[in-house]
Amino acid sequence: MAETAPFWSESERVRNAIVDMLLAAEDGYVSGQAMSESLGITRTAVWKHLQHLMELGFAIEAVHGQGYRLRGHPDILMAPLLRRRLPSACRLGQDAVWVPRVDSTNALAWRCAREGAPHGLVVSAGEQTGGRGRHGRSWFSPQGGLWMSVLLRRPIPLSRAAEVTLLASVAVRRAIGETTGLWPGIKWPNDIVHHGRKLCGILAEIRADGEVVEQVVLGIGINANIPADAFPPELRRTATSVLAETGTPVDRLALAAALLAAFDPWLEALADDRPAFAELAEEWRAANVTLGRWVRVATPTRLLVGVAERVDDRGVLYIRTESGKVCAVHSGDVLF
Amino acid sequence: MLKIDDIRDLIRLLDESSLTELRIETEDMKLCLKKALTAPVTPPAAAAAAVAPPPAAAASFLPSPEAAAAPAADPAPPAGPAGPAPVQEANIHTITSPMVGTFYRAPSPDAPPYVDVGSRVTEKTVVCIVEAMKLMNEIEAECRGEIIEVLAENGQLVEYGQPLFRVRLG
Repeated sequence: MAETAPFWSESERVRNAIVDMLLAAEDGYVSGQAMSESLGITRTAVWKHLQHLMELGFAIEAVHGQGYRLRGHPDILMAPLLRRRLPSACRLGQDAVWVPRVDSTNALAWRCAREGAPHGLVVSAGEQTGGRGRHGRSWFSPQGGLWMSVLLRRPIPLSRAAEVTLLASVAVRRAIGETTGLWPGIKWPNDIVHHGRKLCGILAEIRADGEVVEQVVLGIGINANIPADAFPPELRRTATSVLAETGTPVDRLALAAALLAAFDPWLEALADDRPAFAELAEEWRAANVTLGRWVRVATPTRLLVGVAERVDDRGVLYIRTESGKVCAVHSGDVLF
Repeated sequence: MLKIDDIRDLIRLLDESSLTELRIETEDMKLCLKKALTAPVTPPAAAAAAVAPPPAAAASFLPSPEAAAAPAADPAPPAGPAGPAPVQEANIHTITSPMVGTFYRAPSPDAPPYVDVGSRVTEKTVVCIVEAMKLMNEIEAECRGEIIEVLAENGQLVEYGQPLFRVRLG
């Protein structure tokens, strides 16, 4: 299916096939002739694609008379690399588009969706030039981060759609924890934070037909391997990265694969109108850094001050204000 | 405490029934659902015949004063069962909110609104965003015509089924 998807350019398709052949050979050699015949292109064309792959960071050894051997690959979410990290039952991430640079992975994912891209497509980029957060805010997304968007095409009831982003926050937290040993907190509704500074932001955009979601583009931006000093001064108090906190770069392919594998079955539950978030709400609450605290919540119309009393099984936050009134919050920024 | 899904079911039941009003009171909440009153159908001779609108129900929570623990809607209970709904004219479509959330007229605070009074829309025109928990739902017009009224304020919390825009079809 991926091989004919129109959202892949012909050269991407060929390069993915070359990487697949090199990976399949494991430590062995693949001859230029074999690649040329299998792909239906000239040996010169094969060589050009190999050069391009080397520019992307693939270490390819050429031995005269033997062919080409893969000695290493970059830590990017190219389809053949990501697919090998995923459990075969995981529907998310079996197709992937990676680009060195894009305005916004969410915007590119929508373009792919319009061209008929399948459920589970992962769109990622080395850097985003117009990364965006909630309500048009910009999102700092330089080289080193994990900037990805997942296209979901499942008939999720609109009444459960907000659970998608909450579940994504649980999946991201688990993935970071399992991959790095750093177990961050979750700030309502779905920010991943460590000591009050943001490690990851999640933003979903949906298109619904009546009361059923047709498509979701789930944007996940993880400050993975951004050096602490690469953050602009105005962000240093509010943002941090996995690298800055642990001192070790994280394997982004492993991180992405872990979060996709965790998230996949929860999404299927939502599509069956099963209460997926309720099942994980305890884990979400245990990791939550908002509950029980005196907070200020900037809602679009006013500032609420009070105690973050509880979050229900649909993710709605309840704030008890000084007057004793309890207000339900569906959207807003929690400030401490 | 009723869940949104329960209320949705009640709205459907009310729509399908011959009742015009439904009130439920429990210890910690009051719910009042009223159906829009059907306009008298004028004889089909009149060209611009007023037609009976499809039955619509308006929902509202009325937090009862004795139950402070009842979560109140934010920021305020929506304009509730405020009398009979206005009689709908022929060829007018009302775009309603498919979910509870915050209503945004523009993609960002400094961007122009998606649509305004006088804007022409087609089925796929995005007219607004309703956001809940960083899930942005782009609402499409799902009809063809001209926006004649904007019924919600930017940044306001909107309820399921709440009217957002009126569109003159054509």
